[in-house]
Amino acid sequence: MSQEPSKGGIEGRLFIRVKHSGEGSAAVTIHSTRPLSTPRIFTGKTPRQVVSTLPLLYSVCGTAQGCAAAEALEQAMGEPAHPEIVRARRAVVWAEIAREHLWRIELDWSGYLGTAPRKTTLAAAADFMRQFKKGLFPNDDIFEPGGGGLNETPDEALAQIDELENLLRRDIFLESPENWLALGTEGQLDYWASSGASSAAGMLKRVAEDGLSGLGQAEVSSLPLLPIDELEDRFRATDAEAFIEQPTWQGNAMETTAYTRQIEHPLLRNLGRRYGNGLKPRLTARLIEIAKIPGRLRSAIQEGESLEDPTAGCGSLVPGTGISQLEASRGRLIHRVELDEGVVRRYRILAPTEWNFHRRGILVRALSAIESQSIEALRRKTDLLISAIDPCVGYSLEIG
Amino acid sequence: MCIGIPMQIVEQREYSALCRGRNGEEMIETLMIGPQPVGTWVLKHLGMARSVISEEEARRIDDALDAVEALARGDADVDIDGLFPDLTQPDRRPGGW
Repeated sequence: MSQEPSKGGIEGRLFIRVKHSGEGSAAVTIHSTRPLSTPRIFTGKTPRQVVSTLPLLYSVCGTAQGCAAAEALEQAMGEPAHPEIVRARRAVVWAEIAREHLWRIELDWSGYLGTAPRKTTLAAAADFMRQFKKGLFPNDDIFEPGGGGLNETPDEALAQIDELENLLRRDIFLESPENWLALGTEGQLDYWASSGASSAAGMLKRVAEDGLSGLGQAEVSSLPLLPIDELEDRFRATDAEAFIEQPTWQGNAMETTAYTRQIEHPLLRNLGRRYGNGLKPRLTARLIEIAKIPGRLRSAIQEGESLEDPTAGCGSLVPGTGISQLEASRGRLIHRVELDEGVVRRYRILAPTEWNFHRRGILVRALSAIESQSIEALRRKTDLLISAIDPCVGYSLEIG
Repeated sequence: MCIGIPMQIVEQREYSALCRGRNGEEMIETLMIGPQPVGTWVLKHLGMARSVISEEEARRIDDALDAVEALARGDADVDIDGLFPDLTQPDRRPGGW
């Protein structure tokens, strides 16, 4: 089977073109070849067949995808899983978010700094995610419609949260994530970053030194939790395919990222006064999010606190249909399924990259006003913003 | 959407490996999984091997990707049913914390 490099093969690709005016970016266009019709292969399949294949196919955020699938299918069947199961699944999704953030910090940020990513950090992040999931669902049946077999004891999962906390302390924050979260001002953040002793600290220090803290400020609203009835209308409309390809809400392109999830955090609000949603607040948001994860996972497991409110994001308005929406590493993930006599009649997925890399979306707007006399510097700034907004497919960048 | 491609290691180098997959051979980075024996199956995303997978998982992902490509070509004769295993359904019950 031959790949089609011009289209990016079966994985799809983003093609981003930035026109250079001599003083900076002048016009930005974006074109995606992501295969959005992939869920059609689930037509005619049973819910169990879907949950056994879908997480393998969308393996990069496989837990978020599998969890969204299980919840949408359960809604459509009219058999929501036990709240303990839902809470445990969502906890594993947040463990996956932690792994993805750690990988991006270690790979992308050290790449900008010109240092080698720490292999031990990458491996430890993967190991945490695997062991945490196994600690909650020892039979590897997390997406079983109706609910898998939860471990009788949360001890292993709790031990893994300790491991994550140690990893974050050692390789990212150089102090406990809880202490780091107490930083409230830019001065405190800069003082922390001044050691440059981790990829995270080094990156924030370098971005400030390079004068890029406010890079890519643009006006785009945060995607709210979408009401199920309005979502259902969008998915049932005749232009549903166009909605999935270029989603807007109330006519507007929206952003859904770690930045929009953490936008109310006091440190981000402080940074926002000076840099809006520029590069430094974006990078900091990723750190804030990952610093919160151990505490949130512990509360979910020990005190039964919900990581998200699934009743607000999931539902079934019409018998046989189900919608789920949850937060995945790169933003909001939405699944919508229609069952007919126990098998899938229609399956649709709306992924965060479609919002964030929309042709009027946050990336295009952030790239639209970059000052840079040289093409090389413009390319470097563009790459920084793309990786900060974090697409889930590869991209090709053309500047000229 | 986050599709990973199964690749089999043909030759392992220090931080990368020559791998063979559905689109032929290519070099991919193996920094995230460390050096692996020749013949190991890995999942590639954004030019990097993200995880080690079993041969069975590799086959199932490739089967699903075959179905996706067949549908994209408009191939009505594709045997998608063959790609979805029928699973037995053991009794499940929520545990307690």
